[in-house]
Amino acid sequence: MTAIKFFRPPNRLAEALQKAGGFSAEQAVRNAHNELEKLRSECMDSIDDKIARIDLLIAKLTAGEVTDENGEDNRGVVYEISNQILNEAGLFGLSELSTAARGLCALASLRETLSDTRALRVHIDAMKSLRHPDVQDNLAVRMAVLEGLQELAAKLALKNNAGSGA
Amino acid sequence: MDMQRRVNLERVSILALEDSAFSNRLLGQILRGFGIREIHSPVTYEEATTLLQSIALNVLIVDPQWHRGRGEELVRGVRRAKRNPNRFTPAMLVIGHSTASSVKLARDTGANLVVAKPYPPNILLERILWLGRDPRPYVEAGAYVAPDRRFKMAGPPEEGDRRDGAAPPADTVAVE
Repeated sequence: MTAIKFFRPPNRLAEALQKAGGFSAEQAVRNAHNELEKLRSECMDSIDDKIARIDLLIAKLTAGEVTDENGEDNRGVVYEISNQILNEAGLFGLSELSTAARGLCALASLRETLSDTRALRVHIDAMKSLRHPDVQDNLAVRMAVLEGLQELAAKLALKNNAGSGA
Repeated sequence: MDMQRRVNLERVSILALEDSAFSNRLLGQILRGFGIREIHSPVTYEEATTLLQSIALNVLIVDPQWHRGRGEELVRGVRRAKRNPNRFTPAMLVIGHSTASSVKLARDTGANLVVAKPYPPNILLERILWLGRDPRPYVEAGAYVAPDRRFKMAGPPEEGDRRDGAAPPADTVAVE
């Protein structure tokens, strides 16, 4: 029988936080936003590069290229990059793009997208449109794009559940 | 969070391991904004384990997907290594897209908190401060070492204090 032991080790973080001085939490958060802003432009470029990479990968998947020349699973890479966009876009307030990236992650992990990449294509096209200046400045259009993606995701989830016998 | 509360994170040392180099830079910027000076972001798994064996840090912030899933392995390994100086260092896992099984796996690493991305600065600061107050004892049962999930406590605050315009809610789970 496994012995169970309970104990309270010292919390070194609590000790480190005891130091007097510093600034208000409000100031700390403001400073963090200011630091983030220094990378905004670079982050937007990074996001656009990642969207372009996903676009290319989906084209390869559609052409039947499941893996790249190194044996890397193209769909897995789509998932990884979308996951990065989810965070990076979210940190800069691009919430619709972040949500769309989350949706693409979910799709990339679905069985259906192994053979049918149309939903992946719809998603990446939507993400590209969300980065278009005209769409970025129009909340109603951004929300409409997102609603369309959510409807598509709901249909696919239903199909996936039916396929798995759930 | 009381936004007028004074915080001093100058003495806090952190391991920050995000799933991509760019996300790691963004996390580093936020942490520097908080006043944290000692931020370690080793590149390889071997560098990370060497660091964790040699320096006692104050917080671990790790994406389980770091190095294709090795972030999870790293935290689990630290909790199980009896002589590791970071065995009981407060640990926060930050996760992007998740499923029920991935959240369960993350919880089972022995981390204190699981925070969903994206994490705006106010949420991240609150969670770091909460880790400093985590009152739970640790439990060790065989190879399993983690904060006691049965210990009833008030978890981190709800998501009502998010910045306007920030991305969708970061679900936060105190691992209990």
